[in-house]
Amino acid sequence: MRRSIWWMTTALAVVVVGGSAYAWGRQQQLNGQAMAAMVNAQYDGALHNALADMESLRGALASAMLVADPESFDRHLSDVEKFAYAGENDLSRLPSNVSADHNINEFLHTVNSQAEHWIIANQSPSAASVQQSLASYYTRAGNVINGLERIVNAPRSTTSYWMDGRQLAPAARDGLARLEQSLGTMAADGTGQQPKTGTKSKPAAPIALQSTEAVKRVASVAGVTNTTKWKAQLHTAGENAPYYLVVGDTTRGSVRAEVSAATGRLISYHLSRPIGTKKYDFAQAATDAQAWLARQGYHQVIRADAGNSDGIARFAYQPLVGGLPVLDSSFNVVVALDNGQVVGFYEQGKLPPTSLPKATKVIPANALRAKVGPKFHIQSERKVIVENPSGDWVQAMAYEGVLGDEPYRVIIDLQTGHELRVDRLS
Amino acid sequence: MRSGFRSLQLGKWIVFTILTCALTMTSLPSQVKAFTARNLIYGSEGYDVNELQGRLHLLGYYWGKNDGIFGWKTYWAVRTFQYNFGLPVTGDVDMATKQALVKATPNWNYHMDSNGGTNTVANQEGTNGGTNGLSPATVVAGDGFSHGSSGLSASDLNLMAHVVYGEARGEPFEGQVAIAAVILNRLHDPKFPKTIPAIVYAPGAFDCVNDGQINLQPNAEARRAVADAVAGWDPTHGALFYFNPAKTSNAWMWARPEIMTIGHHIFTD
Repeated sequence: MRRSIWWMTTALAVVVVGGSAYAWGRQQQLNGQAMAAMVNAQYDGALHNALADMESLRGALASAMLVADPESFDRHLSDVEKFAYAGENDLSRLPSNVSADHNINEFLHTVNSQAEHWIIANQSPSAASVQQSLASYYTRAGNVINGLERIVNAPRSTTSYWMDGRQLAPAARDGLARLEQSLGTMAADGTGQQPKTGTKSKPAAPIALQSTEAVKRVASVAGVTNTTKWKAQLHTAGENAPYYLVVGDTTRGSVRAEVSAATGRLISYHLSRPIGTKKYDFAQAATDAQAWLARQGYHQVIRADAGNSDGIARFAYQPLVGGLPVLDSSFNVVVALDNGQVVGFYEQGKLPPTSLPKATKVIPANALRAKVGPKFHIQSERKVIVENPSGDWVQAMAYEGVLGDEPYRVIIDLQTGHELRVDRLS
Repeated sequence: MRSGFRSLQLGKWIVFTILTCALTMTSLPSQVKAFTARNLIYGSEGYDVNELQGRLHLLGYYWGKNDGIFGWKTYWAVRTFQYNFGLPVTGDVDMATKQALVKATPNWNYHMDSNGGTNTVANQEGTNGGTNGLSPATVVAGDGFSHGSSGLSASDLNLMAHVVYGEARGEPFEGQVAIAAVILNRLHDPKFPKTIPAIVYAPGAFDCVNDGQINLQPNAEARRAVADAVAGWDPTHGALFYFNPAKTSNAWMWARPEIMTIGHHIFTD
C-alpha cells in the first residue's frame, strides 16, 4: 500500500513538473513567435511604405519634367524633396547590415539635395542639364521600384519572410543586397548632377615629412625633449592621409597625436592623464588656449564656442580670413581645469579658404535684413564666410538673435540673398 | 563696595556697547555682494554669473533665467551694456565691465534674483530697438564672439554615449572616441540616415542595440569620448564601419578597405 502511494506521488510529481515545463516552454515559444511576427510586420510595413514613397517620388519627378512653368516646377520639386526624404526614412527602418553599399539611400539623398538646390537657385525647368538629371533620376526610381516590388511579391511562408531565428532570412538578405547592387552608385552615373558634399576623399598628397620630424613636431607641442621611446607610424588610408600617428609617454601622461605627412600640420593632439579637481579659472583657460593656438601658428582666430564639464574646458576657435570668421571650420582646444594644461587639439570641418571669397554685387544691408522674419529679434549681425550647398566658400551675413525665447542664427548669402541655413544655437 | 560699583559701571558700558552695535547694524543698508576677481566669458558658470545676470536684469538688459550659466542671452546683454556704457564691446566681462556694472546697480542685492526672471524678449526691445531699429552694438565687424553650433541635441549626445558604452567599454579611450566618430561620419554621409537616432536604431547597424546593451548607463569616460568626437577628433579618419575580427564572419565586412585598428576593432571605409 505504502509503495503504491509512493509510486503514485512520484508519478504525479513528474506529471506536474513535466506539465509545468511544457507549459513554460510553450509560452516561451508563443512569445518568440509573437515577437517574430511583430518584427516581420514592422519590416513589411517599412518595405511597403518605401515602395509607396518611391512611386510617389517617381510621379513627382515625372511631373517636374512635364511642366515648363517655374512656379509649378518648384511645387513638384518640393514634392520630390518630400518623397525622397520619406523614402530615406522608410529604408532606415529596414535591416542595414545586409549590404553596406547603401546605394538607394545615397540616390534619395542626392535627389533630395539636388531638388533643394534647384529651388534655391531658381533653376529653369527647361534647362537641358536639369531635364537630363530628372530623366536619370526617373529611370533610377523605376529601378528601385522594380526591385522593391520583387521583394514585396516574393512568395512567403505564413510565419516569416524576414527573420530566420535571430538572423535575417536568406531570401530577405539576398533580395535587399540584389536591390542595392542593381541600382549602382550615383558616382557611376555620369548624367546625374550631384551637389558637392565637401566630404569626398581626395587623392593622397605626397609625403614630405620624415617620421623623426613628425615626432619633433609633437614633442614641441607637448613641451618634451626626451623622445627616445616615442613612435611615429605612417598611415596612408583615410581622410587627411598620409599622416603620422605619433605616440609617446611624458611625465604628465601619454601623448597621441597626428601630423600631416604632406604639410607637417598638426591634425590632432591628445594628452591622456587623470584630471584633478577643478581649480583653474575658466576665462584664463580660454586666454591660454588662444595663446597655445598662436604658438601652433594659428594667430588669426576668434573664439566661437566654449563650455566645460567634468573639470575639462573646451574652446572652439574659428579661423579669420580677411577679417571674417569661417563658420564651417574650427580648431578645438581642450584644457584641463586642474592646472590649465592643454590636453587636446582637434581640427573640425573643412580647411578654411586661403583668401576671402569674392563678393561682387553685394545686396544692401537693409535689403538683406528685410529677408529675416519679423518675429526674429536680431541681437547681432556680422559678415562671415560659410560653405554654400554647392560646397563653395561664400561671404554671407549671419544674424543672431531670438525667436520667442530660443536663440537662433540665420545666414544669408551676401550676393544672392538666399538663406543658406538656420542654426539653432545651444 | 567700590568693586561692586565698578562692576555696575562695566556692565552699563557693555550693555551700551551692545545696544549701539545692534542699532548701527540694523541702520546699515544690506550688504552688496561683489564680483570675485575672475573674468567671465561665454560658457562660465557659478555665483558670479548669477550676480552678473541679476545686475543686468535690474538694468533691463537681461531677460532670461537667473541660472548662473553664461549663455547667449547673457552674452548679448553684456554686449549691449558695454556699448551703452562706452566700454569695448567684447561680450566678455572683465574688471572694467564689472566695475561699471557695480557702479550702475548700487542697490542690487543677491536676494532680488531669488525668483529668477523669465521676462519676454519684448522687455529687451527698449534697449536694442528690436529688428527695426538695430543698435550699433549689434553690428559686429569681424571681431566679437561667434558661437559655433554642432547641430546635435542633448538627447543625441546622450544616445551616442549609450552606444559608445555599449559597444566599446573596456576599449582604449581613442577606441571609444572612434565609435562616436563613426556615428558622426555616418551622419555626414549621404548613404546613411540623417539623424543620430535613425543611424543608431537602423536595424542591424549596432550590436549593442540588438543585445540590449545600449540601455546600460554610460560612464563619464564614454561621455567624454562623445564630447571629443563632437569637437572634431576622428581617430578613424572618416571610417563608416567597424567590426571585431574575433566575432565577425561577415565576408563583406572583411573585404572592406581597412583604415586602421584601434583596440579590438578594425575600422573600414
